[in-house]
This record gives sequence, C-alpha cells and structure tokens, in this order.
Amino acid sequence: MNNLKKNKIQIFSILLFLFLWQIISQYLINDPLILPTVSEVIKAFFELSSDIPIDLAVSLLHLSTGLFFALIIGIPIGALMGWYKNADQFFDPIIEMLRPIPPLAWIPFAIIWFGLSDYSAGFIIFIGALFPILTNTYTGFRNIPKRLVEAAKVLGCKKNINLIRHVALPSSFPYILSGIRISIGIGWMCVVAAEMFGLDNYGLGNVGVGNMLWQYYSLHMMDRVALYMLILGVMGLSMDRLLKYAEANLLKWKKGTNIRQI
Amino acid sequence: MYQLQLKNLSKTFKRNSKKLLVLDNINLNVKKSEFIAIVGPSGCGKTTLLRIIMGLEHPSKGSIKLDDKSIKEVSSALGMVFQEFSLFGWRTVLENVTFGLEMKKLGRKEQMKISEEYLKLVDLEDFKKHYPCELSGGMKQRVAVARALATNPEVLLMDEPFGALDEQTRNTLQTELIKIWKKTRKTVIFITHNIEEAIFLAQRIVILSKTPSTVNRIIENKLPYPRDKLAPDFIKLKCDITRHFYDGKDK
Repeated sequence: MNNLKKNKIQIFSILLFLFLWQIISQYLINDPLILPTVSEVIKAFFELSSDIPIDLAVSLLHLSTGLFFALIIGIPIGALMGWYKNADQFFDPIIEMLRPIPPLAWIPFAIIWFGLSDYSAGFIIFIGALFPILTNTYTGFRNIPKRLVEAAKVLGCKKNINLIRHVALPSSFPYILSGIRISIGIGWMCVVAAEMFGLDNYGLGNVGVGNMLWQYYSLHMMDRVALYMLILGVMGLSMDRLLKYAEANLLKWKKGTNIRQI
Repeated sequence: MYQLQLKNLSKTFKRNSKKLLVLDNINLNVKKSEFIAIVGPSGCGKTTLLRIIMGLEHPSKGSIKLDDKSIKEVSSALGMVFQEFSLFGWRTVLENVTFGLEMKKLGRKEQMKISEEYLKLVDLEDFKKHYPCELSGGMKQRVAVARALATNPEVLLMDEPFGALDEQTRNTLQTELIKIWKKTRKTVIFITHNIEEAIFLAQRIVILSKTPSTVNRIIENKLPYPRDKLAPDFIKLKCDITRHFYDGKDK
C-alpha cells in the first residue's frame, strides 16, 4: 500500500470518528455533562489555548523527572542482575514483590514523603516507568551472545566493567530502548493519577494536564475534561512515534528492526 | 625451539555428577610460523582444545606453554577467529577491527592506520563504514580475520572459520588465508572437519580420534604452495588421510 493511500484511510478514520461522536453527542445524548460535542471541545481548546502549553510543560517535567530516575536506577540494577548471578538472586525477590503493586497505590506514601510537590508526581511516574526499563535491561543482558563476550575477551577486553561497557550495554541497547518506550507509555498514563492530588509550586494555580483534568471534572466542565483527555492521547501517541523513529535511526545496525510502523 | 607446547592436556566435563573425558593426554609442539590444521570427527573436542589453548577454558590436566611461559588465562599473544557470528553488530567494520587496539589504549591515529592496513590485507577497505549485517558471510569472516590480526598476536587460532560458508567463498578465503599467512608469518592453528581444507592449508595435519580425543596421527604435508586441489599428489594425500581419519573414527 502506498503512503498516500494509507494516509487517506487514516484521515478518513479520524474524520469518521469525530463525525460519529458529534452526531451521537448532539442528537442522541444531547447532554454536555454526559458527552460533550466535538464542537464544544474545539471551542474549549480555543478558550484554553494559552493554558495548554504550560500544562504540557509541567506534565512533561513530571514525566521526565520520573523517567530520569527510572533510567539511572533501572538500567544499573537490570544490568547487575543480568550480568551477575548473585545480584540476580539478591534483587529478584524484592523486585518481584514490588512490581505487582500498582503505581497508584504509592500515592499516599508519595504525599507523605514528598508533600504535594512535583517530586511526588515524579515519584509515581518513576514507579510506573522503573520496571519496564529494569526488566528489559535485564533481558537484554541475559541475551548477550556468549560468543561476543568471548570475542571481546580474546581481543583484550577482560575486566567485567569493560565487558559491560563495550559489549553488554551496546549489545542490549535495543532491549533497553524498547524498555524506555514502554516506560514512557506507562509513565504518561501515570501522569493523570500523579497530578490528581494537585500542586501549586509555581504560583500559577493549578497546572499540569492530569491536574487540570481533575480540576475541570470537579467543576463539571466535561468539554474541558474531554479536551485534556485528547491532549493526553495525542501527546502519548506523538511521543511513541518519536521514539520509534529514534529507535529505527539508532538501531540501523540491527537488521529486521521494525521500521514499517513509522 | 618450539613456540607453542601442549603437554599432557586432558579435559573432563562434569555433567550431572557424570564425568565425561573429552580430551585425553594431548601432546603437540608447534614451531614459529607453522601452519597446523587439526581435524577430527565432529564432537571430538577440537573446539574445546582450541578454547583451552586460547585460555577460554582450563584444562583438567596438563599445561600449555608459549615461548616457555605457561598460559593460564586469555593472553594477547594469541588471537582467535570464531566459527561465525562473532562480530560486534553495533560497530562498523572499521570499528570492529579497532576494538582490540582500543583495548590496548593506542592513539586514535595509530588505531586507524593499523586497522586500515589490515582491512586492506583482507580486501575490505571499501566496506569499512558498513555494519556487519550488511555484509555477506565471507566478508564477515574476513573482518574477523582482520580484527584478530590487528592486535598483532603471535599465534592465530581459527575455529572452523570457513565452515559456514559456501564452497566458492570458502575456496577464495582459503587462498587468501595462505597469502596472509605467507605475508605475516604468523603461527596458525586451524580447526576443521574438512580434510581437503586441511591439506590445502596446513604444513602439518593433526588427526584427532573420536571422544575421548587423543592425537591419532600427525601428518607432514610437504606439497608446495600454492596447492592445487585437483593435482594427483593432493588427491593421493587426501585418500590416505581419509583412510586414517575414518580408521580413527571406527576404533
């Protein structure tokens, strides 16, 4: 299928979705509290167009805080577990116990530890983003071809630290990257919950996409709630696309990398 | 007078409390610049023997001496070319060759100079910016040879390096290997299960028996280089060795 035709189908699908939404909300439901119309949401967008960039910036700050700590903690632990059997056995029970706890269950402690701050929002996102990065790094390290490690040893790369740096990390880079992509997805989903408790660190009043979503819900302005939901969706999608694009570029050396979806 | 000496090498693998003797009292002396081929039935422990020489595995008994110093672990005096899939996929051809030199902490300029020289030797200077996934099997093995030679080891160990290649590519690489060997005067220990390949390449052919492997026979190969696989002398030697080879297998 050529690109033009593919794009046409995609645009048609979006238009059809919006059209059905408009018809259903306007003629079947006819109650903006239950389902605002598309035109109301568009109107809300223009009303709030000066707020949205700030909300996005704040939410992205929370996301990157959480992601940053997930990276600097998840990658080393995953690497240690993948490389050293003892580290694997040591960390595994702890991680397997903490992993099933939903990130949202950490909210009370996040508030106690960090107060109503950007850090507590970042912390919730950190919890959500940590495990995909950690387990993917681990899987990457476990899948390093033994022969590559031996080839490196033969060429004078003998210390564990050098083997990790020159062989294990680059070899598991594809795994780590897809871990990061999953983490960003999950982290972005956590934004709403992480910002739910509201914070006011900037003297700007309530800010943040997730935060505003809750604010407008409490005011029963459902057109604005829907608007922020759409913003979450569009942002999540664009970040995912951006990462897939980056992945395809960074992993040129890997044959069979999935580039079809770009 | 010998550069590499294997003395009474034995290797036992333990698996589920069962002991499996793979190599039984192997003795071999290798002169400097000699080309040795080791042949034997598959599963006879040829690769294990090479890995022990390289220091990737430890012998259960016996010793390996290089220039009268015993080798206990991986040494930079030895280089190795693996069967296949040993290139670093995330590094370009050139970066694969520089790997060993980076480990030696050579300057960037020197790394480039040496690497390009060896890439030229294996006739791949036009592909230095390619990634291994873009190369054919034969080209990959040439990179592996250049990479192993770049660190200037005294002995080059080759573990069935052309085993996974098609007949034509294998023939080309065999001819090239002889040229490289003549040019660099490295000692080569070459493992193969292909008798023809061993006769084409080596000055001495070590025939291992079935597991537990012992040195069944060492055959001097005085045929002049470059060798012709269709010459009567070549074919005669091949017949002789095939007989011994299968003798060893049947015992």
